[in-house]
Amino acid sequence: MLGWFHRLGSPKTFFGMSQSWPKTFGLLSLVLLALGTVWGLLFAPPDYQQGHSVRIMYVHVPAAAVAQSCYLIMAISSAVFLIWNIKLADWAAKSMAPIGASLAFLVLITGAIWGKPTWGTWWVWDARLTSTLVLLLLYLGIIALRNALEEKGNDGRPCAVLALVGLVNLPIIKYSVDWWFTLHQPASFTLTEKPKMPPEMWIPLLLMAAGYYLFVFSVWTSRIRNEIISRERKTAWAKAWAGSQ
Amino acid sequence: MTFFYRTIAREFLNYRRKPGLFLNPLIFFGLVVFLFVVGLGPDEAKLNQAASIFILVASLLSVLMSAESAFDQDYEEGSLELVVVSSNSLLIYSLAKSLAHWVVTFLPLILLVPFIGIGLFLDVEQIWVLCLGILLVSPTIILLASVGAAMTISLPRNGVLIGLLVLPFYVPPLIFVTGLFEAALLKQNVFPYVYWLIGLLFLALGLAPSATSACLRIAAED
Repeated sequence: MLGWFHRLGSPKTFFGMSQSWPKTFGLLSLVLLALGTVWGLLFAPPDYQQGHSVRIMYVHVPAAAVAQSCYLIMAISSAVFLIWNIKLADWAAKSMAPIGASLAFLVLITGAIWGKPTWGTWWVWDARLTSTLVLLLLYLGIIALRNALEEKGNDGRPCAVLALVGLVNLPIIKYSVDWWFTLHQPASFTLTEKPKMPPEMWIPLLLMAAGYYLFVFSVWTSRIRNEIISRERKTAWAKAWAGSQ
Repeated sequence: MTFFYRTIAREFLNYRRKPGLFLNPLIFFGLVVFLFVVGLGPDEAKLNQAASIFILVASLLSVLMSAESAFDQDYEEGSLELVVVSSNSLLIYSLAKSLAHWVVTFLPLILLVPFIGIGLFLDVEQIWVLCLGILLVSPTIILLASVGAAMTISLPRNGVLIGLLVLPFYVPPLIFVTGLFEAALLKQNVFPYVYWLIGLLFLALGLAPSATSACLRIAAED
């Protein structure tokens, strides 16, 4: 088990192993996203209250879930880096931050577009909106710290500490903001309960969510591969790989 | 324990030799409050409503300003490395640093607040609550700022970056302390907020020094 872990942590092994991942997961996610988008935007029934504006849910809700998962994945990578000092985990955390930030941004934008016709305003200082904004700020802080550190030639250990401090703080931020003010409806989807919407609405939503995850995985692995090859470009195996391309 | 006291004594000596380190943030605090007042206008009711919040926010900003230089000197002159290689605990070192930082930033501020409060037409009870709120929230704020300062220690001109890193973490303490002010104003039960603030304080006291010392170790090793 531990041997497997160490092999995975070697940039060279990971690079060889992940050769086909970006393409495979990218194609799978494309299929799922296309299916979910067409189903959600054209065939799923409109909401009895919100009408057709509910369709933005198919973009918004999965993005929100995935933006938070990205943070968790980044924090786990950071912890692996700090504990076992595996450089690949640091690069994985680095590669995840911009993906999570763009998804959090997408959540805020789609939420604003949906909020205008439904709530009558682009933005309210509601609990979930605020905690998503804080999530975006956390991502931006991590990216900025990373840039500043790399400019100085340091590695990402302070960044990893920041990601972990953020992980402890995220639930506190979430609950404190919940206490503060709540207008947003409760979670659309939970793992433990039967969904309250009809299946012709939640099946495309589920397809979209799976598509988002695969998309993130595809972009993430391709970013990690870029990071590996740009850092290891002077090594023999990287040169051999570049020659074979 | 002696290492703890020695570090604090050294900090105070340092602050005495360079009074600008703690006086500039205090002046900055005064200026921010003044600008808020100018912006809001001299209307008594308006000032009374907003005063507690902007005094608090101004104090947060002034902490960020002084946090920037919290570990700078020790890092540059090499005494941080000495602490790292010595048998002394970095945890104790960062706790002592935070305590000294708290004493020079917030103690004068809490003494100043009643006078500013009178100038902004707060009544006696509001001033008490404001002082209590600042007293409860300030150690958390200082501890979080020390984590930000330790993370950016090796970077030049780190002030803005500290702000970006630390301000998101200021959201929960700020929410609970404003809740405290509002509850006091409406004569409601303030204890839930007090307990929350104490809880956050202990959480920060437990976790922030280890994050700070981890970052300090990284900086000293690089």
